[in-house]
Amino acid sequence: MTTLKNEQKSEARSIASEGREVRSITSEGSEVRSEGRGVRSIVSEGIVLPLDNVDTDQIIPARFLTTVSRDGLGKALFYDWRYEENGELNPNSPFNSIASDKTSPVGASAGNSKAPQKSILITGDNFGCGSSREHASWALLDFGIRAVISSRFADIFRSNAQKNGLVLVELSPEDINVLSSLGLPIQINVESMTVQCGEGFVRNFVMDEFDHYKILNGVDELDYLLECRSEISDYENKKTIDRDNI
Amino acid sequence: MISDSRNMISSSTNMTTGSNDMISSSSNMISNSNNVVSSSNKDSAESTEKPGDHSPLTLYDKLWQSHLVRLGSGMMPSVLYIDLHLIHEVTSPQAFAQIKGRGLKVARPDRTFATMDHSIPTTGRLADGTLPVIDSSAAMQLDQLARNCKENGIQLFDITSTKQGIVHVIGPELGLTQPGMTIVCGDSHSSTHGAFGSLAFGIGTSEVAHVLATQCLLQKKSKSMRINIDGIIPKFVSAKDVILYVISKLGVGGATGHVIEYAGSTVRAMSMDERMTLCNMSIEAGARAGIIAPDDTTFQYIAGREFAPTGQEFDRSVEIWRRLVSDSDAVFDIEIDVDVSNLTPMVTYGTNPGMGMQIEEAIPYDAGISQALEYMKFQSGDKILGAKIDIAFLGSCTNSRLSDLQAAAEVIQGQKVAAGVKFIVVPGSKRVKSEAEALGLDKIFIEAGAEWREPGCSMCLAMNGDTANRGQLVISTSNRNFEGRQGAGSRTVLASPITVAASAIAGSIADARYIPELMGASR
Repeated sequence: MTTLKNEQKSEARSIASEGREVRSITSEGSEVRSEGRGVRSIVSEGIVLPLDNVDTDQIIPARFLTTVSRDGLGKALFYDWRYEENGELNPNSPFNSIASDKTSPVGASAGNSKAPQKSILITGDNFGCGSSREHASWALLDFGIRAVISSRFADIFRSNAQKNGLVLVELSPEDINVLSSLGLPIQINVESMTVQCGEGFVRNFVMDEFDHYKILNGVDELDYLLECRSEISDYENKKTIDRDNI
Repeated sequence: MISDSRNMISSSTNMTTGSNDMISSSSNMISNSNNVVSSSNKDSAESTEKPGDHSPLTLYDKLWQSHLVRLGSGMMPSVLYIDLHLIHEVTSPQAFAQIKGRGLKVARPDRTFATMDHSIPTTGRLADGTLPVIDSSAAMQLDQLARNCKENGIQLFDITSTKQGIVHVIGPELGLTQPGMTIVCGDSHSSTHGAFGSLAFGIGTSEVAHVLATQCLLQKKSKSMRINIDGIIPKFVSAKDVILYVISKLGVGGATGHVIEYAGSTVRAMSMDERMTLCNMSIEAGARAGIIAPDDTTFQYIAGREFAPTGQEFDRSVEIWRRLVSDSDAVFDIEIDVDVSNLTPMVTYGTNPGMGMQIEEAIPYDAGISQALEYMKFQSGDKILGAKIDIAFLGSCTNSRLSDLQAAAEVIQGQKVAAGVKFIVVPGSKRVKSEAEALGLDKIFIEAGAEWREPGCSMCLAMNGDTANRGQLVISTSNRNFEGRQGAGSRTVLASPITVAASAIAGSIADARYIPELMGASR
C-alpha cells in the first residue's frame, strides 16, 4: 500500500471510493489480481513487439475511430499489423501467435474465457507517441492487454492509460531485451513495483506516486475534481475581478 | 548551420545521420553530456510552486501559476483551470456519455466551442443536398456531437456554419485563442494555439470529460525546453522546414515530458501563421506543448477578430499580454540553439516525423530505420529527391492557412500538375476558403489541375474517405508520416506547401529552388 503523507490522507481517501473486495480474473495462462477497480498484480507471458516509437495510429488506425463507444475496439488493435492486405491474419504478427481460434483472433474483456493467454505487451522505447486518441488504451484493454512494458511512454498515452487501469511499467532497454528473450511467465507486482521472470530476473520499477495510487485503487480523477468545485468557483470569481493575475 | 557556441547540435556531419539518439533522453543529456548548454537539474514543480518564490520564471511557469486552482502537494497533482475547451466529433462522444451517465452537466458551456472537422467529407454536397459522409458510424458521430452541443448549450460550428473548419485553424481565426489562456482539446495538435502565448495541449477523452464537468484538469508540471532559432530563413524555405529540421534533430521522443518555448530572431520575424506551424508540430518531438511569447505581431493578428476583446478592453488586455515573456534570467531544463540561415527544404524519408533530412541529402545508414525504409520502399544512401509521387496533399492544421495556400499558389501559378498526379488542396476553414477565393487562389489551383476542396482534416488522417491507396506515395503538408496514416499501406513524405506544390508540378519530389520557372521569382 502506498504510504501517504499525513496531509494527503483525507484527500486520497476521498478519491478512493471503491470497495476493497479482492477479485481475481483468470484465463488460461494469465492472471490479473485486483481490488475493486484497481490492479494489484498481473501474471502472464509477454507478447514481444520489439519496435521503438510505436505510435497510436498503429495501435488503432484512425478509420476505426468513428464510434461513440469505448467498447469493442479490441478488434481494431494493431489492425494493419495483425491482418494482411487480403484480410487474412498475418502469421508473423506477435499478436496472432496467441490466437487459438483463427476465425476469432480477437481478445475479449477480462473474465471472458476467450481472453488471450498473454496480457502483457513488451515493447520498445517511446510507446504510444502521436495522436491523443484514448481509443489506443481502450483497444489494448479490450484485446486483453493489462500491462505494457517499455523504456518510455509518450505523455498523452501515459495519461490516458492510467485513467483506464492499464499498467505501464518502465524498464531499461537492456532489461527489456533480457525479458523479451526469456519467454517465460512474467509477474508484475504493482503494489511492490517489481517485475519478476524465471529464476533470476527481478527488477524494481518506478511509478509516479499518484499514478501508483490510482492504479492500485482504481481511482477516478473526476471524483477528486468534483470535490474541488467550490475552490474552482472561487478561482473563477477572483479571475473575473483580478484580470492582472495572469 | 547550428550554432557552435552552444554546440547542442554540433556539426553537419552528425546531422546527416538523421539519428534519433542525439536527444534521446533529456535526463541523460542533462547529466552526461556537454552538448547541452544551459541545463539545470531544477525540479520544475518545486522551484515554481513555492508561495512567495521570486526566482525568475519562464513563460510556462507564469502560465502555469496563473491557472492553479489548487497547488499540488505530496503525491497529489495540481488542479489547473482551463480557459478554453475546443471539441470535435471524434474524441468527445464518450466524454459526454460519461458525464451524462453520472448526472453531471457541462460546467462552462460558454468556455466550450465545437466544430466538425475530422470525419467530414471535403467533396461538397451531393446533388440531392446530402453530405457524402463516409459511413453510418461517422454520420452517427457527427449527429451525436450536434445533439450533445444542443443539450448542453455549446456553440457548434457545424457543416452549415461559415465559421466551420479545422479546430486549430478556427480557434485563432475567430479570436477565441488569446495570450495567457490555458487551452485544451481532445487532439494532440492543440499545441498550435501556443503560438499566441497560451498554454495549449492535447488531452484524452477522459480528460475531455473532466474539463466538461469541472473546467479543470489534474496536472503535474512538465519540464521546460527553450529552442532559440536565429538567422533569416532562405528563399523557398519555410516555417515547416524549420520545425521538420528541429524534430529531425530532437527525434520523435526528444521533447517528451517537456514544454517547448520557441524564441529567437527568426521566431520574432515570423507571421502568426508561421508561428502556428512551428508550435503545431511540437507534439511530433513528444513535447506536451509549444509556446511563443506574444508580441505586436500577435496583438495585431487578434485585433478585430470576432471573439477578441474590443476598444479599451483590448488595450487593457494587450498591456497584460505584454507581461507574458520568460524572465531574462529564467533557467530552462534544456536549451537549444538553431541557426536556420543555411537551411534547405526538408523532407521525411521514414515513418515518423523525426526521420527527416534536407532535400538534397541521402537517406542515412542506421539499423534503427530499417523497418521504416522497408515500408517506405526507400534505401539508405539514396536521395528521395526525384521519387515519383502519386498524390500531393496541401492541407491540415499544420499548413492549411491562407499564407500556406498563397505560397503554394505562387509556385503553381501558370503551371500544370504532372500527368498521373492527384493534387488535393483543402483549406483549413470556411473563412480561409472564402479569403483564398477572393484572391483567386482557387482558380490558380483549378487551372493547374488541382482539386479545390471543402475544409476539414481530410488526408492528414484519412478517416473521412480522402485516402491514398496501398503503396501510393504522397507528398503532404500534414504532420504525420506514420505507417498507414493516409490510408492503409500508403507512404507519406512530409514537406512544406512550397515543396508539395513544386512536387505536384514535377510529378516527383522536387526542390522548388531549382524549378527553372521559379528561379527568378521574388519570394
